Amino acid sequence: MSSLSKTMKLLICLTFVGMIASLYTAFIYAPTEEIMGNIQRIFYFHMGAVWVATIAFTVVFIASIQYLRKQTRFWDIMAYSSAELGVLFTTLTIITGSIWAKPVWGTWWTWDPQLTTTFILWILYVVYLILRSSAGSDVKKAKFAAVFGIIAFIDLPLVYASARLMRGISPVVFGGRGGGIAPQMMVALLVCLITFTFLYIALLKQRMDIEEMKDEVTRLKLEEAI
Amino acid sequence: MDNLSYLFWAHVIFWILLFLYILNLVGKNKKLQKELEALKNSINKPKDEKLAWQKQGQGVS
Repeated sequence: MSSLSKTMKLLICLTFVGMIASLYTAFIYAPTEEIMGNIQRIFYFHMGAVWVATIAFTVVFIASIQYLRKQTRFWDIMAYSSAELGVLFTTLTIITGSIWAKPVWGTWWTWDPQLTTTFILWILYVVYLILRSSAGSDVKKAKFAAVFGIIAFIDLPLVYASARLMRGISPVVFGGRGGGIAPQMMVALLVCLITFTFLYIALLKQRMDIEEMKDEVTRLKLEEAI
Repeated sequence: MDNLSYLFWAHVIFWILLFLYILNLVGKNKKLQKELEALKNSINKPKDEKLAWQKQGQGVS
């Protein structure tokens, strides 16, 4: 834990190089959008945050199910750590989205279906984190938090569906009524998504290591007391 | 504010929050590592002392 493994070092290096590549593609390589201008460049990092939040909450869902099935601490730690990252990246999504909305929509926030469901998602997982952190080593509470994590996941498909099924002002870039993006913009977006995936894996591993160390400290304290 | 300043502030906030979170993780990691080392030392110390006494006892007899 103290010294990073070779895989972890490689992952951190890839994330670092990827971040530089993301900045280059987002600010220099990708063309300026005709209508919105330079403000559209927020899109790449905004989507990176959306992507990580989506992966993180999906991992919470899967890990919570696994925890309820197998009752092993590993899955519990994974769900808790991933939820924390999900909340962080949803916060970044909301902040960058809000800053993007102001010059484009003329308002920092509007109760558009997609924004509302995203806000609900954020609140649900903040509640999950409060529940899970208050549970400590109580297995019953941890199980309750896992059930909550599974139920909260229902909101995630609603976030994506709301922009497509309900009338809102959030743009749909991909899918049925989406206009798509220029090939160079797509390259910039893909570079960002890959880099953010590396970042998520690196952060999740570090966060899980911390929880494992906390467990070890508790175990050793008990041993010392005996 | 023009479009560029919105872009600038969006990135400033984004990177500051991300760095603060990473710093928080690194801080927690270091603190726990120190705590673990201290605990391991305090657990191993009495065992080492006991072994030393046993060896001393064997030497005398």
